[in-house]
Amino acid sequence: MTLPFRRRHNDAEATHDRARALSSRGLVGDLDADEAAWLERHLDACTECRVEQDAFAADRELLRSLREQPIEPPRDLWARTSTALDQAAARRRLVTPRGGGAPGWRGRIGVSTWRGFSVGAAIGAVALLVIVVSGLIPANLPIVNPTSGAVAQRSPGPTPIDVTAQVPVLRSGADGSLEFVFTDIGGVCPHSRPECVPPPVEHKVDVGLLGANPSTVTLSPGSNQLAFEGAGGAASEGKIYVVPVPTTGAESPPPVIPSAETSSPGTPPPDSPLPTPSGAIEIATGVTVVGEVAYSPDGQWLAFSAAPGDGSTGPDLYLYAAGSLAATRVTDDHQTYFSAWLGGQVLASRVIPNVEPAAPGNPRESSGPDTNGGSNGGSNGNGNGRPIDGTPSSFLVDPSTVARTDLTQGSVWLPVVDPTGRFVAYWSGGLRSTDGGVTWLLANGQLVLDGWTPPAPLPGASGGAVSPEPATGTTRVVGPSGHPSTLVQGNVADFRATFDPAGTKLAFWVAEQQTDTVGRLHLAVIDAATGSPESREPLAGVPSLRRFSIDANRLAWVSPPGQDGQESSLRVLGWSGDEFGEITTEPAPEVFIVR
Amino acid sequence: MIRSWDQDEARVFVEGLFAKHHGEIYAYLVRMLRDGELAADLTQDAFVKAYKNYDTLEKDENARAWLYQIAHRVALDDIRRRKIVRMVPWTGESHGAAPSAERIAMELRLSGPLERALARIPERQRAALLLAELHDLSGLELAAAMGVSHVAARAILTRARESLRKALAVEKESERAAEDERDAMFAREARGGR
Repeated sequence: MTLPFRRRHNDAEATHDRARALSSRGLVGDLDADEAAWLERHLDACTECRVEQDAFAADRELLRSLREQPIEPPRDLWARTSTALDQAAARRRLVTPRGGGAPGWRGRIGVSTWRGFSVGAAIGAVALLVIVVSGLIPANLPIVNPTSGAVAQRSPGPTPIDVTAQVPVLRSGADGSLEFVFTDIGGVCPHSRPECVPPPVEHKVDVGLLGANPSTVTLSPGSNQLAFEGAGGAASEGKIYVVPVPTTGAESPPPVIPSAETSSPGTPPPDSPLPTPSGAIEIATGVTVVGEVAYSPDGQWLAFSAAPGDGSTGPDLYLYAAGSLAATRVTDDHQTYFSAWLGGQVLASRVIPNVEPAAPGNPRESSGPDTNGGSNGGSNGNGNGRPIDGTPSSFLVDPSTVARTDLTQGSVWLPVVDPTGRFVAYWSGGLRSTDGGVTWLLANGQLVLDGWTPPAPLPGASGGAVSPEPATGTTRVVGPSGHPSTLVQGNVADFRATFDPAGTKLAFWVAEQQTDTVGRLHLAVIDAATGSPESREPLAGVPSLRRFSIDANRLAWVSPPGQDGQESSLRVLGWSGDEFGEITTEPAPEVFIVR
Repeated sequence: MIRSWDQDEARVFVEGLFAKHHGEIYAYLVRMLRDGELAADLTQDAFVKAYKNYDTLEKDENARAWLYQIAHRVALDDIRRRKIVRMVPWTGESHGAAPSAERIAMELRLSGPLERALARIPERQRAALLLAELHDLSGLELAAAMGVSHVAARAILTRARESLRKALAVEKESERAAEDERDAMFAREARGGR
């Protein structure tokens, strides 16, 4: 064997090389005492080596200065990675025989190219076969079980967790149009036994959506009416509709019959449109929904906040009584945001801008927010682009009388109270606007869980929490009890929180940017004794779209679409006692939870 | 001890790794590849590989170095495949017709003389410098992450310091030449304006 020629250093070069190597190692503390002593002696005698060592040290400081310039990863990195992990897991499930066997991906990471080639060739051959076969099957056509309409069953495994639940969704079908689907779940699988139950059974319902591109679709509690907002450049954009939902299997939906006798918070405008042939009613026009849309628990009312479509002001609170012709705007301060229903009352929040000191001769700058619905458009005299801070306050509204009860505690934003009336989740802190008060962002504060003090009935009052607006002079205590537990540490720009019906679990979604459509969904278990979240989190921040749904024994959410054309899936975490399990439906380009 | 591969265990473990280390892995890959989007893709790949190869990690306390080893290999594989970055000094030109604000910010961040000098040196040397000096890997961790012996890792690091020193000198010389050129241009304009 012939070795390549290599120049041999003379002794002096070797000594300097050693000094250079030790100088380098010494910078990272990798010298023993003898080496350090030798190096010091050498440097005392070798100016050139000393200069080189100093240069190494200076370059090292320069390199370490890069620590002062942190590089932030993209906000969707976890969503992308999580989706990729899901796909890797799914692929593994496809190639691993049921019932165990050798675990996949054994062996070291660095498999040689040669070995990889033979495996790769085999995979390639299988892939080619799959492509040839799949080319004979129409694209995006799920294998349908003729009796249920669901995707064909996988073989059931042992010990699923029994969870009976239904999740209504709007989903893009094979032809790209939206389908309204009730997804019936019979059980979920423990995490150690994925796919132990058949996939959910689906029932499709034909709903006339006027050809609109709907958004903010919300289903009533009785599943007999949908509310939605036209969007996406359709003719219906800027309009809000309600449309009847037929009973499963019905040929055509019966139209909603407007009733003049139905109690309503206001008189509908005289030019309110009549129901369309499909039964849809245009209940508001020229507006954009801001935040949540929700039916009251008895389905008799729909509440939402909406702002003018031209973005000239912030939102007001609207109420729609089932069976009436139009929604009615019940606030005019352009700063009111619907939060949630609490029994038969609406919880809403409004912002009090912290207006800067008045400039001489400019009375508008000395005023508070325009509560008369006038022309200031929520700008509060500060439409100069400078950020303005705002303090939130929240209140209850009786939809029948529009009487308002202010919460006792200030700085409570978008509170959500559990249906049993024991706990409340809310943003505790301030808000900030950079557009003169039209839109508001979360500022300093935190998302918290607190006890809830319900309003005590007034002496002589029947049924309760009614007081004149504004609630000045009110002495009744209502609102958070003032012992909050932090739910999320760190950056929160947007959130949504909902309790389960028993008030034992709280699902909350948080996003780091207000424009993010993908955030992280958590499920916290509430310790009934302390009113604080338990340390265990059955769901700890999974990537999710904003709209999720929680019921007595399940939490449903939609996994975000990933990169490279990956699609969304409806995912359901179900529970029975202390057992939790999950099920995922087949992916589709678009999936929206509607209740 | 070789651990068995359990899907849930692997998922939980990798989610924990991601929560703790995704920022530094991404930053390492950005500085190796000088491309934020590509670095994000490869960060994702690295965590998927960690998930798939969870059973090859012998001790949890080595997880960070193990993760860097995966990220390092992912980066070198990509560099070899794409033949990018190496010896191509940064010119400040964007890759697409309409670069995003994030890309512009990232490119600005990577356009300083030190980053340009790092881009000039061989990728294994660049990796050794970044891992040892920015990411604080010990000598043994550096060797493990780079997949070489401890002695070889020390040698690579020493050569990397020498290479960086020369590359910085070249960058400083280029900057001086550019300044001289600007001064000369201003002087010409000043004379022409009289």
